[in-house]
Amino acid sequence: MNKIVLILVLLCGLASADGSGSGSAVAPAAPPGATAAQVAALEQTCADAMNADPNFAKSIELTINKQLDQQTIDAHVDALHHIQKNENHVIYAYAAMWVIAALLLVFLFLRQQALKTEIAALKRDLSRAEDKA
Amino acid sequence: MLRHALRIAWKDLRIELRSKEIFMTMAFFGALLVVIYSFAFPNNPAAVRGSVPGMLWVSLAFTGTIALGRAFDRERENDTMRALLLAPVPRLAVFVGKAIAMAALILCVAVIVVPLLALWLNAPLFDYPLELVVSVAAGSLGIAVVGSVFAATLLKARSRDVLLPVVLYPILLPLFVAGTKCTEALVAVHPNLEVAHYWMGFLGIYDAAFLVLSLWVFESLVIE
Amino acid sequence: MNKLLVPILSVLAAIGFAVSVYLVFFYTPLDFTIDHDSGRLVGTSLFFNETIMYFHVAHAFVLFTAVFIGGIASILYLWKRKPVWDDLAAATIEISVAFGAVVLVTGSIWAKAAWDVWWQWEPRLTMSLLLWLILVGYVLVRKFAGPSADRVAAGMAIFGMVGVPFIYTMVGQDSHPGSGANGVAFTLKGRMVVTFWVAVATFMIWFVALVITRVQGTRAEREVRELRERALDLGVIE
Repeated sequence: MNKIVLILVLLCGLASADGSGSGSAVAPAAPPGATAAQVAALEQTCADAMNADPNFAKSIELTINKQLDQQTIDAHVDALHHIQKNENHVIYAYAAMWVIAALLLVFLFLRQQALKTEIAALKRDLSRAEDKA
Repeated sequence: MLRHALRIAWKDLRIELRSKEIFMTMAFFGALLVVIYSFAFPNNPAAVRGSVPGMLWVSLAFTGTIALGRAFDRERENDTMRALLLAPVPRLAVFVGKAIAMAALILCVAVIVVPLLALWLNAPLFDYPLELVVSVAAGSLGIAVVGSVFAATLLKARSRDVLLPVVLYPILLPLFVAGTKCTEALVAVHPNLEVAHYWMGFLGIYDAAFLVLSLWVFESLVIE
Repeated sequence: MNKLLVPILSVLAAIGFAVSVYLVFFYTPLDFTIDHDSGRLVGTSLFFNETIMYFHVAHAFVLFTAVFIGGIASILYLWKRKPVWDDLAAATIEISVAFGAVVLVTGSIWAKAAWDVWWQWEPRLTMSLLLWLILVGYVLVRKFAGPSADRVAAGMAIFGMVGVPFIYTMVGQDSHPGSGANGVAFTLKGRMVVTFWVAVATFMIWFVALVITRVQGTRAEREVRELRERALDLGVIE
């Protein structure tokens, strides 16, 4: 919160520093009795003071950019977490694996059972036939 | 050995020349395929450039398999394959002779089908005739080599007619992909000869590899 | 001993499966941080969908081992003409159809999670698909070719083994992690190594158990055939 207030204040300063202070809605009202020329002179003094330090404007830009960057990173991190913890496809893959394994087992089992019954039936028939012979 | 092989190839081709059965039916079948393509696919010039390589190689695959099946059926009818294998020539000569005859037959069918494709679909197939002929010849040779091995092995099999493509197509898939890419490079709006030559080389390597492999395993595959 | 072999292997595989599930989900947690300077993810295990890898790659390892064994067995069968090699080739290749299906399906699902497409015509996918098609063709030949099925199938296995590498060199760019010394198995870090090899061992054991069962099945089929012939001779069946 403090940061936002600070930024707003700084933004006002920046707007004034551009020299377009006259049109600024947030610019403090001129004290009563001051002429337009005096106001302009005072504003110029302020702007000069702020422009005296070349890092001042840059530091403001940097602060704002950092906040925007943070928002971008947050959005990416959110998306990333979404992909990262995506459990659905893992569940599908494991389910598919189980289904295929189960089908294979059922297939093998059924075939073995069919063969076993056939062998048993053939052996029975054969022994009966051999007994007769 | 080569002499025997050529003699066997000549024997097969002479039978074919006398009846012209496979050639005529396959050429007609190929022409029908082209007619079906021209109705089944959009035939405006831009679309044809994209689809004609596939049509060409699909036709080669279809006519090739059917021709192979029929040609080897002839040997089965009077059990002459056994006689050929028992003949006092190296068995490899039998294989090489068969492969040469089959390659010639498939090429003859292609000679009918490819101009028809160019004619009825307005396909710019003959912009680079040399490259086209070489790639189609290499493809036919590959189909004939691998096909002869399996058609001979499947001779006694039940349901050999359906099994021949089932066995052949997965093995021939690299050849079809390479052939299609080669033709694609030749008929594109901006033909790329470098790419076409690369795929022609690929076809050559494929043919060489499978020829060596076929020579190596043919004998043990056909002996019962 | 012979009768106990399959149950023992199955029990081992079941234990191995339980252990590897534990290892995958609890022993090898997601491990990553975000490097704030570059904004990149760094860590050994970045995505939850990587847990598909342990079973997908393990099945692929088994698949390629199986196909290799099947190819060698086919060569030996054509060379020596001993039925035992034919049985082995038939069993390994038939079982590897199921393993290939698992590789393709889990791979497709993982591709959707990681690349956002179900399928891509990329070398390893195309190669696996072609391999699987050859395996299915092999099984069809075995089933429907009749008396010469063994030779046709052996030829198909050998030709297929030569044909598959061709396709790898001819389609597009590889989207998979590197191969050879840069392959998955050799670039895993930390706990993932243990988990991965436990999974591979589990499915290898499972595969061996299945193959033995399948070979026993083939023997039973042969017994049925002999019994039928005897029965035919005696006039019991027609």
